[in-house]
Order: sequence, then C-alpha cells, then structure tokens
Amino acid sequence: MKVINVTDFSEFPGPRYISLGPNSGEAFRKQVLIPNILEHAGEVTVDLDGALGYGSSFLDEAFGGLIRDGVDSKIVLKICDNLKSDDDPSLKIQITQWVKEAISTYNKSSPT
Amino acid sequence: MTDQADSGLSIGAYVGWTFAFIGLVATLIGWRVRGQQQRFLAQRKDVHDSIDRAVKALTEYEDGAISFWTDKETKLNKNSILTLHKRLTVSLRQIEELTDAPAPYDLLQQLHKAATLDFEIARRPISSSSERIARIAGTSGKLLNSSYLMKSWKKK
Repeated sequence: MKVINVTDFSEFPGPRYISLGPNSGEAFRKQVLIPNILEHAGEVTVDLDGALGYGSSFLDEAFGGLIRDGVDSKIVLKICDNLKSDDDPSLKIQITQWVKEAISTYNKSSPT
Repeated sequence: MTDQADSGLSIGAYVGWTFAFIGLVATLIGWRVRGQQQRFLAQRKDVHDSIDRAVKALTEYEDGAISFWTDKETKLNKNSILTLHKRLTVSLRQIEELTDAPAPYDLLQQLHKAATLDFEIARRPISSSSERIARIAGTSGKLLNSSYLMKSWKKK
C-alpha cells in the first residue's frame, strides 16, 4: 500500500483549480493522486495530517475530481476508507461526501 | 480470681481492638471515597475547562467566518479561517480525549464546508441573509447546543 503524504505535495494546500493559484486540488489530483493510483493499482493511502488546513474546494477537486476524471468509483471509495486524518477526522467525512456526490452526479449524467 | 481478671481483660482488649479495627476500616473507606470524589471533581473540571475553550473557539470561528464573508473591510483572510477551524478541531479533540465520547465531526465538517467552500474565488462581501451565512450560523448553533458542549456533574 503506497502512502501519500499531502505535506510532501505542500504544507499549504491551495485553491480548487491550477489556474487559481499554487498547490491546488486539481494539481494534487493530476500530479500526485492519479499517477500513484495507476502505478499502485489503486492501493494508496492518503495522509492528510500536518498541513496548515484545507479549503473545502481543494478536497472536492482532489477527491471528487477522481470520479469526474473517470477513476473507478470502487477504487475512490476505498481511498476514502483508507484516508488518514487524525488531526481532523471531519475531513474524512467531508471527502467521502464529496466523492459520493460526484458518483451520484456522474451516474445521473451518464447515458443508460 | 486472676483467671477471671485475665479473662475480663482479654474480652475488654478484644472489644477495644475490634472497635479500633472497625474505625481503621471506616477511615480507610472514607479516604477512598473522598479520593474518588476528588478525582471525579478534578476530571469534571478538566472537561468543563475544555468545553469552555471549545465554546470560545466555536464562537470565534463563527464570528470570524461571518466577518470574512459579510464585512467589506474584514481583516480576516483564508488562512485566518483555516486557523480558526483548526483551533476548534483541537478543542473538540481535547474533550474527546478526556471523555472518550466521539466529537460531532459531521457538524464540524458542515461548518468547515459552509465557511471555506470556494473562498478563493467567491464574490465577497455577501448578504448577511444569504444561504451560506445561514448555514454557518445554523451549524454553529447546532454545535453549541449539542450535548457534547453541555456541562454536567452527573456521573456517566
């Protein structure tokens, strides 16, 4: 199981999109999460501890964005289960909600 | 005659030692109960002090988030809001450590979402009657009134 420390990406997680500033949720997803998911067949643990704090948009874009990018929902939900967030356990609840909302939106919009 | 006196003395001594022993046991039990009560009171005081700190952190978070979103010339920025969130989280976790009761993390994440969602790009100031402000105030109120932040002297 590959452990990804968000603090290795940045101690100061930024905005939602790359275009809005450094250390964005989009950059974390594209540069860190997706390459590691592909390399380790989805067997990744994300450690959120140690950062200054997260904006809600960073969390949605980084994790909910995985669904919008076409990553298998089972893999993303497993990543949610494996999240490490001892500093702030509420982040795990919020990220799981963002992912479930993204799955729900994706299912509604995909052709039947 | 001497035997009778010895026997009387023995009974007297026996009764005396019995009372002394009972007194000693009662004293020890008294000390133990008093010790338990003092420990309970000290633990409760620690919990109540932590609740005071959490209530202060919550009201500062609520006031800060509302100021950030509604004041035209607020001194608060994104990092201030994240710091206020962190202070509240630490306070709630402190209570959790002392009581073993799980903190209301679902309410905490609702407050975090209302305070920080798109705070990099959203237009500010917003109306004090907007949905976001209602969510910040409503969720803070729910947290404040939750049993988690209620002081109690009941033994649980």
